[in-house]
Amino acid sequence: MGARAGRKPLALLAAIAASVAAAVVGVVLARGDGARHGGPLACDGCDEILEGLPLDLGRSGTEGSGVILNRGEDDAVLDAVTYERLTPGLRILDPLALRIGDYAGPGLAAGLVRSYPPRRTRRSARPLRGFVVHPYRNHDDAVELLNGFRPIRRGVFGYRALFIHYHAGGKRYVARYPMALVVCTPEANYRRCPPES
Amino acid sequence: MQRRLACAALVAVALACSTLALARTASAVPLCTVGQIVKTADPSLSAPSPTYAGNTITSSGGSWASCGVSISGFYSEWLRDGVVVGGPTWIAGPPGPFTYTALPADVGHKLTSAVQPCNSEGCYGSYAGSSNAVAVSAPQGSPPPPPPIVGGGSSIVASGYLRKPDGSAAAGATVQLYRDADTDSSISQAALDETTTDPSGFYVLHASNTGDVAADAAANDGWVNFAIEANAGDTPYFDVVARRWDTARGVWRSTNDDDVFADGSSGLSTAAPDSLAVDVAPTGGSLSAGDWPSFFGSCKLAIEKTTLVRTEVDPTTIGELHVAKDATGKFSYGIGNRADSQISIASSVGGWHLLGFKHVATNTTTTVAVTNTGDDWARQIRSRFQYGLYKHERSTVDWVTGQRIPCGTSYTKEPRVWVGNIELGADLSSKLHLCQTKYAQWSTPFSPNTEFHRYSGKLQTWQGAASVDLGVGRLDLSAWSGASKSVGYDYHFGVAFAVHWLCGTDGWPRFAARIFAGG
Repeated sequence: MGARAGRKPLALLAAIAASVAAAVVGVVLARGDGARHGGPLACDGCDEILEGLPLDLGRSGTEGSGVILNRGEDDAVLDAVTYERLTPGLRILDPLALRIGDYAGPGLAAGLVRSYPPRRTRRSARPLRGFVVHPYRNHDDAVELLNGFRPIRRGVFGYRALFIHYHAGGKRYVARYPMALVVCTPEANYRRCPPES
Repeated sequence: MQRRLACAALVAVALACSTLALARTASAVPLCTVGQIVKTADPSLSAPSPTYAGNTITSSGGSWASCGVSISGFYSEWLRDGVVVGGPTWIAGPPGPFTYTALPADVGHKLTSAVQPCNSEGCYGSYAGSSNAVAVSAPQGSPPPPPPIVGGGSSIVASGYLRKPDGSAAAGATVQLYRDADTDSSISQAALDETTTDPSGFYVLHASNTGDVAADAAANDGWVNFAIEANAGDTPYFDVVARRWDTARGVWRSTNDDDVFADGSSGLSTAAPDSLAVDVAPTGGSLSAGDWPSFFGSCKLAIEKTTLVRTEVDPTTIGELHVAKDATGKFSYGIGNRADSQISIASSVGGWHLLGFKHVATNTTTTVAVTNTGDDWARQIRSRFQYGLYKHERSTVDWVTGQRIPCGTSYTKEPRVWVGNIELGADLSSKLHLCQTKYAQWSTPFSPNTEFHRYSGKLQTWQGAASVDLGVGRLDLSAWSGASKSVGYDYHFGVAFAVHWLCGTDGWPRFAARIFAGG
């Protein structure tokens, strides 16, 4: 009994030490992953965008206003998109990338539409991971990001910005695009979205 | 045997002839869709080799075919390193040669052209880029292309190049930094910093946030307007920049905003520091004719005196609002308590100088906004600014005789205070419903009952779209206006149509926001 009682503080200390170690490792992994901010796909000086729509439960939508240009000299390879302050209740669908020159047009595939993937993109849009963004020479080389989403319960959901993770020239980067999305579910409950105050 | 061979030869010739005849018949039948525009050759560029600033570059316009209807005209563009610097310009008639005169700013960059032909059925699906690019060289003995922008260093206010009008380096030029003070009474001040350009024309100017500079910053939310003055040969140079003191980092910055990183932290990105680059432009005129600013001879140690002569309030274009079909739109300006922070105005005329990139604000007005009053509504949006007419005199004193030595006098007209109202300008309805023609390449579809809000970090400037009526006769010039972090567009698309479009050429999606049309 005495031996077991003596182990309790030790176990507590070990747990604290493990937690601190895990936190340190987490911070190191989060901040020290070698990824640089910005880079050739940086959203350099672009405006803040907020888009919103009411959408029924289980329906899908696409946000596609993010257009990226490779201002570098090397090909950039997209790795992932993550979302700043993504709220639970909004399921993110596998993002797609679409080279503008490969799209039959007119213009871009989607600003904010109630379908995913958007119409006429099934043949030309590709999974984002591994998508190569060539150095920008003309508008055909621009790449539209198609972010799919689906509300899985009632309420107001969204995210505040996109982080585009990619690598180019042997370096890893993350570029922030200040493009917020608000989804209000179901449509019958929201005349406007974001809801009018 | 010979007969058989001759017979076979005759049959072969007959077959060949009939095949040719069929081919000719087939070619006479249109195999295209009426209105379809087909490119048969990319535009190509021709220019002197090497190409210098001032040389003319000609684009062939490419070769095009249009099915059933003739090409009515085409949009032409010029791009510097892939970024549009000229156009789109509408040229009537089928694509033909058009030209561009290389500028000093093109030195070290590659120029290309792009063409988009149109007919009565619409336009070619995209701009066709030229098959080749023209690199603009600096004249022999002149500096190499600009190095990466310098910025973020402690107390650096500005760095950049002085270039002569022909694009060559202004080496050995004297460059001085002053506080560009709005004043109701005359002030005299010595230069905050002075340097000499290196062989490439490069300079760096510093200022500490102390004394009058610190007082200026404290009174203006951290912002200070600086004047950069320079002499190169017989040519005076002048520019104005707005900088904000970042107390946390002890540096001058050109923006008000921190970067937000993936881990949620914020700060000044080391990968992309604020741009503090300023390539100072010649003001026009000459030092020998007494134009300002002059640092020659005894004037090198002159004191500058600035006097506010008078003020006037002039209307200034701050943006456009375009709303089509059943959409509603709102244009907001001066969001929050901070009003306008940058006004860029064009070049100098006859010894007068119109200056830009000044931080101006008002304490009495917050946001102003305008909303469309009906369907298919497009207007230029204007506001009013108070402009100051300043007299700048440089002079020194002969230490022996005690006489005053003049070192040049000139006048500037600069934005001083945003008055704060908002008013409707020209009717721009003719630009509506161009999403599927003129601006087709960046048109973006939106479903019914969706929202789009854009808050601009910088109001885009577009060719000829903004103007300042300076109201002083010969200074009635076109100019551009710009605003930092103070312009918003809010759109709601109605339910009467299956699809609405945003389209345009100026910003977001990149090249796609001049026209915000709900139709």
